[in-house]
Amino acid sequence: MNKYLIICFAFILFASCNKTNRAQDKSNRNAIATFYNKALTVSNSTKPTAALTPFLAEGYKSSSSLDSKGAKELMGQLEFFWKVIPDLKWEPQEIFNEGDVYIVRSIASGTPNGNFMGVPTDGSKSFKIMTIDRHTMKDGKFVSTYHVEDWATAMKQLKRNQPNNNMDKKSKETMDVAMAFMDAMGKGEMDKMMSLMHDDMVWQNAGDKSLPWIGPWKGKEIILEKFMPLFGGNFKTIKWEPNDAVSNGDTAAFFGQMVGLLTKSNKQTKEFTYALRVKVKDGKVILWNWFEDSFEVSRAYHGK
Amino acid sequence: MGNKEAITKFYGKALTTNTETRPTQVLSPILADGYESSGSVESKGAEQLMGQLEFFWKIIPDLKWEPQEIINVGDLYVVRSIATGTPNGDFMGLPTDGSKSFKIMTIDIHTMKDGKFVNTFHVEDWVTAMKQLKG
Repeated sequence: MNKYLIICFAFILFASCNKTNRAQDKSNRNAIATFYNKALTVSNSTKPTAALTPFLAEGYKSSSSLDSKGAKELMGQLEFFWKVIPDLKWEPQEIFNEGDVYIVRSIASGTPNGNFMGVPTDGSKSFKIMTIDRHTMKDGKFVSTYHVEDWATAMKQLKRNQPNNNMDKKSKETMDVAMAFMDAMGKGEMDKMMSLMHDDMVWQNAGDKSLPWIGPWKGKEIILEKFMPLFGGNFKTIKWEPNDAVSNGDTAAFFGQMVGLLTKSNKQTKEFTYALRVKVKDGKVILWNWFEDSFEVSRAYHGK
Repeated sequence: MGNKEAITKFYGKALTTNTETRPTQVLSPILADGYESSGSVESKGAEQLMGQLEFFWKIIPDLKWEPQEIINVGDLYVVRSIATGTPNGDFMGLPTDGSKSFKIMTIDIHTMKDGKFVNTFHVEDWVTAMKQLKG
């Protein structure tokens, strides 16, 4: 009988602990929702200080690479963010916890207007970056936070000479088609790429003729059947960083930095500047004219 | 190999330079088929990641990536680290000469299965690294 009583007590204890844990988790997640939706995301129903004050525990600390901020400093920084980034949004993509430790991975986006981290901005360019935070929570309050944001990418996005919003309809369509093709290529989405290629498309690249993918390649079928496998099998893009994009009428141009790996020699190129001239006809790419440091690519291909 | 052992190799032998091995050699056996490593704007496959690390080893001969804590929930492993190094050469568009170092925080979320990395989300505080290298 005693044995059964002990088991019974143990079960009741476990069940009540479980209930407490669930209640704790619920109040912790409620605080987290407020943090991201009402303080890190601009809303007209509240302000960061009003939203956060009840949820930051005494002695709260928020730590990054270099420094730690207390509750007041954090709220002050967010008040400033709200002023300079009126559309700031911080959207959690996943939230999970191990005991009191909560991990939140988010996408942060916004369109700053004013001096933002030393970059002058005018509200014409936006950023969209990933962030990961690690919070210690207790009784529905934040005890401490470690946070990392990819501000380096935000800075690049804000400095980039993006196509301006006032460009005419045709130039914008050219830019959109070129960007969509580039995006599909980057993600390896073959169907999408094919749908954006004009039947008479020319892939023009110049350089060392002993490299098997040097063209020009004329016609959609030839590009798909001959050029793509040759290029894909020999060249892996290690770094691709577009810096400038301009469009006028049926022509768009892109400039950026890149690094490639030549699989035959397993050698990487040094970083070089690329340029790309794209022409669009009937909503499809008809010319993809590629300029690179062909000497550097040839050198790496031959393992020099 | 267990998940924790694979994580130790990732940070200790591929993200940290050493004389016994190379990133590609360390990572090839512990990256699952179809592995993807995602940053803010792009995803890298296994080959691209290994290529990038080979490049890092060349340009940052003292690169070190020290996990400060590892949090595990099911198949997910969160690793918060301090990354340090002294680049020499063109590093992320910045000319460096090996006279300045960076020290930054990074947080990675890995999905692991049977001792292999299935995918990774990673954020590094490179903007602080750039300031330290320019300063």
